[in-house]
Amino acid sequence: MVQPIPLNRALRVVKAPAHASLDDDALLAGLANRDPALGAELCHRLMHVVDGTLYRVLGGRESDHDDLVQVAFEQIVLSIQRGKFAGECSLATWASAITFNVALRAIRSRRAERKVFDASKDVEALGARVSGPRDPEAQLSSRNELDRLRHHLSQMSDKLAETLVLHDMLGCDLAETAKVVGASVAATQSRLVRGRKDLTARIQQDREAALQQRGATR
Amino acid sequence: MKNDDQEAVDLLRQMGRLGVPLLTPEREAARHERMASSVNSLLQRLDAEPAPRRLPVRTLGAVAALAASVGLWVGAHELLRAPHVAGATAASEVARVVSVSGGATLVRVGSMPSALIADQLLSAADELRSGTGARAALALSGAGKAKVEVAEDTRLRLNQHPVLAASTHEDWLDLEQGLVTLQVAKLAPGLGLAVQTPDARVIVHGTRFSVQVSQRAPSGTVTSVAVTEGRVEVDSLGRVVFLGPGEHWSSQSATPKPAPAPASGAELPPNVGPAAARVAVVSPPRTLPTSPAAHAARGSQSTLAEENRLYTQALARAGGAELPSALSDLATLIQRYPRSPLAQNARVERFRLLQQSGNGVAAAEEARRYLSEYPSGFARNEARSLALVDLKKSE
Repeated sequence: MVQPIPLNRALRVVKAPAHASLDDDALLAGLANRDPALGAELCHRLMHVVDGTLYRVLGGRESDHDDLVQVAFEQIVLSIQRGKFAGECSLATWASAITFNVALRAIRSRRAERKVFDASKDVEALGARVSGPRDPEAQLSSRNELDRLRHHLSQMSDKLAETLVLHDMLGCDLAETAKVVGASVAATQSRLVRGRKDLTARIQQDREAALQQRGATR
Repeated sequence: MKNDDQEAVDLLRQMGRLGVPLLTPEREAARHERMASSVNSLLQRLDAEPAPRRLPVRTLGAVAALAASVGLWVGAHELLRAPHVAGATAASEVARVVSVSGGATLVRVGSMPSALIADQLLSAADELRSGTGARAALALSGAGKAKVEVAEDTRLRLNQHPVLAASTHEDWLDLEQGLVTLQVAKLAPGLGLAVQTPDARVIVHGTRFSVQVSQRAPSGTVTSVAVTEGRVEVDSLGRVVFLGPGEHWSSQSATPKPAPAPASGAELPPNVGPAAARVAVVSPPRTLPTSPAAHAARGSQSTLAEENRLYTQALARAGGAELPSALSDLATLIQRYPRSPLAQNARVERFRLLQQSGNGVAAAEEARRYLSEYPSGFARNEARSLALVDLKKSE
């Protein structure tokens, strides 16, 4: 005999979304039609994606962070309005890809203006940038590695860097990555392999250069 | 995947898992508002521009040759007929940077922000942002060949709307924040120059003046205009007021009255001499959003009775088919008490009444304004559908 499931187990209160409003299709249609009332909706939908991607790729929020958020949103709107977004991936993934490119250009621009990424920069010179209760030194080292990773990504070709970030950082599968970068799955797979090799080589070169420099200073 | 590459992949994954610190609710709300406003503004600008079309290369060649010959003929004709209009529209640039001191940034749609430099040409829709201690001087190429001085901590967007067929031409500056000083020669018929602030549109009729907005917040600005000489038109929430020498206007009182100086006491640039007209559009320091209880408490200290009176009077007039009066009462409520707990209701009632009166365009515009100010407001779905219906009708 089947035991009836107690109601308090079978039913539970599900909190409704705070902003149940337009779905993606309606939002995209409105943006494509240049509806000047949808800015708030778009921002509400994508702010955490844009902000998060910029934060992770740039490693923090600098003084121009809001400007970059704005640029990313403008690029997203323009890409939708120009029909570049075909709906083959989620809007969030598309926004992440565009934001990553904005961040990449910002890194290059910052590097041109000031030498942010100095190969000789010592771990200690970074200061206490990460709060970690267990192993502050290891976390500083990790932070330094991420800074170097950002530098390497900005040095790589756009195609390889974008493929790597979409697949390995943002967790898109190969098919979705291929749709966003506008290439076949096979070509995307190839880019992924080449990108990883390229990045690995840069990390190793970086490490060797640091060792040589340390030896020279002794 | 080869083991050699594992470290690179692990680093990328680590980057993807980085926690993003939350902003304070106030900063989050302010940023949301700014981005929404920026996107809406971009959509409006796109709406005003024709959609880009791609033509085959051969066709492009033929079109270019034809356009060159027609352009030469039209250009010569316009130069002979109306030099000021032809000169203003021959190039897409709307202004030139005369000088820059300190850190100022140019934000161009579709491009990364870049440093503003002297002699740089500026196009319509370009946005200037001056940092603390920065200043810039611009020369507009359009109406009146106005000279614009941009003070520190200012956000300004340049716009231009040429209409050759009617020989009209309008420049306008969207002043989101900060201070600009303009020197404008007497404008020829058909030319226009205006400064749009969050509260008002200040329309120039040949003068020298300053406009200042200290901050932009949802319904949080007050505009004051004082004129010493010249003639200025102020358009706020559909009401138009012409100001002459010695007159003063404020969006709080909405009636012209004599006043010797801008109400804010804002420091105006020294080059605005006594012989020139001065217009100062100022707003109080930005107040971050507070809780509804705090709003209510603040309101109850002084103005809640008056807010209630205006609101109930508006509803009574609307019920009695006195729509213009009702709309006017609601506008007054919003203008005088932008932080009132009733301000949102007043905004909603306005677009409902406008719709009821058959003025769909104005209703849609009011609905968009509501969405911009209250993106999560209780009537957002109603406002959105109203805005969309109007858009579909216009198509």
